Amino acid sequence: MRNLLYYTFFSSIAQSIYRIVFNLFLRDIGFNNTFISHITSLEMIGSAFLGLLIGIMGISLERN
Amino acid sequence: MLIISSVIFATITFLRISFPTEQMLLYTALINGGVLTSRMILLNSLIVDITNHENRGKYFGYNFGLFMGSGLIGNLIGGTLGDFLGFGTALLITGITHLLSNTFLFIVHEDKKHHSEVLLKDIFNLRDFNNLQTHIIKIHLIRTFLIGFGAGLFVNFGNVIFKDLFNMKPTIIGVALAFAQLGASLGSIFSSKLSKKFGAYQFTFFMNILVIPLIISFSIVRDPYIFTLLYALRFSFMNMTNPVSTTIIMSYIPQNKITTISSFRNFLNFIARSLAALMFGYITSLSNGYSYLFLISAIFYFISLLLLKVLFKPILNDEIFIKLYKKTTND
Repeated sequence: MRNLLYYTFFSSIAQSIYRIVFNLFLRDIGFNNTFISHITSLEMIGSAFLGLLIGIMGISLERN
Repeated sequence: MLIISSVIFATITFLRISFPTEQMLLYTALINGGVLTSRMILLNSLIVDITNHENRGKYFGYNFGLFMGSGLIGNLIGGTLGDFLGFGTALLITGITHLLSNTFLFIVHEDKKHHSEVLLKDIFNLRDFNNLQTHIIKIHLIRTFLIGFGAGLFVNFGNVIFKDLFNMKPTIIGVALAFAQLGASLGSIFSSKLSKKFGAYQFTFFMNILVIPLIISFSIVRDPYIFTLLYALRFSFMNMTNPVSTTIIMSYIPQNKITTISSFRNFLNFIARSLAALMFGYITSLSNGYSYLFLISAIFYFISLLLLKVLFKPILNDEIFIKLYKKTTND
């Protein structure tokens, strides 16, 4: 379990750095808010559908 | 699956740094969003898999605490890295860190005895609810959409907002968002205690009321320090009410339907955030766009506040609800 907690710690740091930096990176290379919002919107759609899919898979596992 | 999703995330990050064209960024966005979300769901499943009833609560607590703490550290490091090494290098470090974190997963022993036999129609069967449960689920899902939309208008763009409104340096943006994250963590920690002290309904309703003037104030306040403070307060208030209302709602849903409802809830939440994210781009391109953005967000929070009253109305005197946040003698 300790190894999993180490994983959580390091991967969460990586993801939160990503969340802080990515939009600023896009701005830095010349993209405006409209484009940044399109990227975020697509990421959310990906989250919605893959999240639902994994949720369904999770239910299948839970009941066995 | 966790390792695969981590490798995909890192690969996409490296591709985006190396070839930051419109096409590359758009094509990878859909997959990247899925990968980022799947990590949390898969991680929770893995914890269930390698723990038992006795120690599960403890390890979920540790995991949540680490998640919150590392989020705070990541915000601080992210801004500083962006400032001193450049955003591309900061993203490169992100990808490498994510990849290296998998080393720990190789040592985790997973229980692989599960196999899947449940039919899809069983999962999507929502006919087994009584009137009260239907009422709660219906309002819960509508509120999820409204709050998801209201939050999605600005929550995912905190870094851009601080840059646009105050021209903050990345290091300071990191500090400001870490401050908000700290508020969110404190909110989560104290939510249960405060609910017992003041009553779950009164506490949740009051916090939801407070959030609205805070969001309205974002459209007026243009002092970076006061704005950051208000921004952090909004995060803590929302994180104080979310665990309480989720616990109450889940207590009324049959055990075998909790994951189904949670999955639908997540789906609606992300769809609302996706639509709101699109709106962010259009609204902020207007003059005074940010003022409009926060006012529109506040309207969505206000409607969800009204629905909160409707949600609680039939359960206020119900035994399950009263037992959940019963005052203890020490309180």
